[in-house]
Amino acid sequence: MKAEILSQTDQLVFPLVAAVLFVTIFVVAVWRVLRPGAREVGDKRAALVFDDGGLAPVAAGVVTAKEVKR
Amino acid sequence: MTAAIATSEAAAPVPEGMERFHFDDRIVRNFAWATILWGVVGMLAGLLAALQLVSHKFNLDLSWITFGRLRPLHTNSVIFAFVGNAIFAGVYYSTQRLCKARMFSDALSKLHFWGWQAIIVAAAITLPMGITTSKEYAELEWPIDIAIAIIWVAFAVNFFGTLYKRRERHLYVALWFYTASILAVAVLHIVNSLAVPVGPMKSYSVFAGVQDGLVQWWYGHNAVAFFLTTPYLGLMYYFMPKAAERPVYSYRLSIIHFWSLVFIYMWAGPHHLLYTALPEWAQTLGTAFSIALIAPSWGGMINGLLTLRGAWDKLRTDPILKFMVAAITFYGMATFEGPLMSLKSVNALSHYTNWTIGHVHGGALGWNGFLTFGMLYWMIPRLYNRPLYSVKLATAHFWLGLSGIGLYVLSMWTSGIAEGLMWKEFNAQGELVYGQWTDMLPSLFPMYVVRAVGGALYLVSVFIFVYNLWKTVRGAKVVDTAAQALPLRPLKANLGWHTRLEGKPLLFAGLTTVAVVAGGAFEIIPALMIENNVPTIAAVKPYTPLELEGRDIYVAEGCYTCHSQMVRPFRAEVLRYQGLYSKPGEFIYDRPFQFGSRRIGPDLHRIGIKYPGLGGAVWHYNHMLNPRDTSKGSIMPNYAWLYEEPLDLSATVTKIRVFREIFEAPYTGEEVTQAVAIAQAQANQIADGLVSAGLPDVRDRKIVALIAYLLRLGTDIQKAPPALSTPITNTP
Repeated sequence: MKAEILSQTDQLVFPLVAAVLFVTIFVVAVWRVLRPGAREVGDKRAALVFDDGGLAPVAAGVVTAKEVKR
Repeated sequence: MTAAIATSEAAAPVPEGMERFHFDDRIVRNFAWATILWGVVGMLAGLLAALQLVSHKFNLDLSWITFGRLRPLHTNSVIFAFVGNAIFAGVYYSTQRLCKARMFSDALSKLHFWGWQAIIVAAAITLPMGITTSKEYAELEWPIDIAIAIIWVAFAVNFFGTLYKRRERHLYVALWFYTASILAVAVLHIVNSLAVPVGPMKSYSVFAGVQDGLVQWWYGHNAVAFFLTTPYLGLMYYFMPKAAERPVYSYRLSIIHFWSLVFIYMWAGPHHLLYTALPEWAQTLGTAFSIALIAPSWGGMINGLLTLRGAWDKLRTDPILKFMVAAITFYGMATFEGPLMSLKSVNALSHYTNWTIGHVHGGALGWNGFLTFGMLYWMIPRLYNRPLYSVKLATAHFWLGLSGIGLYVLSMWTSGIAEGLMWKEFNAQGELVYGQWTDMLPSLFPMYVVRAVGGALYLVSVFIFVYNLWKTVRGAKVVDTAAQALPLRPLKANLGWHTRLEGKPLLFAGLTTVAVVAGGAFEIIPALMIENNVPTIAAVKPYTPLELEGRDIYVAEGCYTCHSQMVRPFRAEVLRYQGLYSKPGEFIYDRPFQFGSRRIGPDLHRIGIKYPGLGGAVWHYNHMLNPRDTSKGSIMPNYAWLYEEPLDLSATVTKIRVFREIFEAPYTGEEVTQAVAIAQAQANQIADGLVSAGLPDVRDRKIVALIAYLLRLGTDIQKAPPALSTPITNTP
């Protein structure tokens, strides 16, 4: 049945739907990063890589009773 | 080295509201060392394969390391073992830290590690045995495919479980790339591996011919995209800022980079099948999206390189940054070259040549290899709490490796363009200048030598790397890193929608899946479903039982690694290959397809027309035994074992039954039940002919089936294939 339905469909619909999807996603992404205040938020997010909660190696060997193994 | 978490009564108090935990660094170390081990193995296999193209003698007349079997071992080991383990090492290290949480399950981490290594070992055993599907980068047979799916799901559960229990609300961009990679690889692997088993280690693809080719290169291209690229982009976004000690140049650019890349990548697969029997619309779609890919790829490259803004001076002294910057540069080069090669006019020259090999290795050795080395040089000293043993050795590693890549890539570019031009060169009389394939080999030989030298340099540099890291960690006592963080806080109500989305991994994964699979769905479903894409040809019939067995031997020996079966509609190719280009309808019984991706030797689609009948049988007999007897200067290995190993017809009935009942091939019920007798009768006919030509009796040997298949290849397009009594006309 799928074959029949697809056989009767204009194939052009597939790249058109895809183009609409892509343009929508792209425009939304561009709007998202260019809107006011996005730079500040981005800078904050970019700094996440340096904040992993890791302790210095000396302290790393120290475990208290409050340690949780999540 | 021992793993331990020290305890002390004099522990520092945990600040109010904070939770203390330990990262699972043991799993990172395990994956890191597995990366190094399999990297050496895979590159050794690659070097041997390169030497086999310098001289056929490097095949050592051993079936299990002959080029056709070694090449898949090389590609699988460097892609899935070297790069795969590096991805897992980097993902496990960075995900825990970005989520401020230990991995979701230690048991799943262990299952993932040991399961993946078991799969690699299974590949290392089965591929040299000739157990293969022949679908490039997806050669492993169905039981191993199932194991891959299970282990991948374990990895996915562990990864998404960690996101679920994270203590950091925002998902850093690296985690987005990991998410897309995990989801896309799952989809690609499952779809491309769909097959019907006919034995414990043998299956036939559910797709046939052109459709199989489309699915395979949708997979093959996206294996490059979502295994070799997107996870590495995630690693770049994590480790580059760490190494440069400054945040990524533009987090906003990374958002556009991510969404554009994951959406576009999936569409570009058909650029591997330009000028083939693939429908024209699919080829055009693949080209258009390949060109579009330059934008997000270069956006990512620029973002990575500019992360070093204001710190370029560090490049002079820091080998880690040298590796990372070179890797990102290679990424930029490869992602420009790829779209360039997907232009039809360029592809007409580059496809099937060494240019593709140069392109692939620029990406693999430069982008994946160098980023892996940079990441491990950064990570291993931290995991072992020891400084790097020698910065000088690391720097030597870099320059030696870079020299190796340079020699490799330049020699392959040169030889690729040279052979592409030689294939098409006509003289004033309108004849091919290089009518014999072996006429071209002397021109390529120096480049094959340079390629092997380049590969050897790269491998030597890797040995320096191994030595340096070994000296770094020797005697170190390892400790799982402790960390502390606040518990996860609820989302604030006044955040933007994307910021909220970035805090909701499940929804984020769902949208990523839509973006990733859109290309696949819109491209593949019509190709699979619309029958008029593959017009049938009345003269094309299913293979006889013996020919099918011969085809399976062709697949097992990896003939596709050197020979294509796709005559493109170019004057030069039509002239070279018996006047007929390949049509989609000729491949409808081909499971799997055998279009190939490289012509180290000539195309074989019309070999049945070129060498027909008894003369053809005799030619193939002599050629497979020692190719130099029929083709002076050939670099093809000898296949002596095909004359010794018995022809196994024990699964023939099952195979024909599967073709008839599941794939609806027009075999009669009698042809199914009598498949063995029919095969033996055809084997007797060919063997009697060979005996009459003074050759030994091989009616019960593998070679007779392979000859049957080669005699049949490409002949259906002719209404009346020549009889076996045709006189010898094409002797060397």
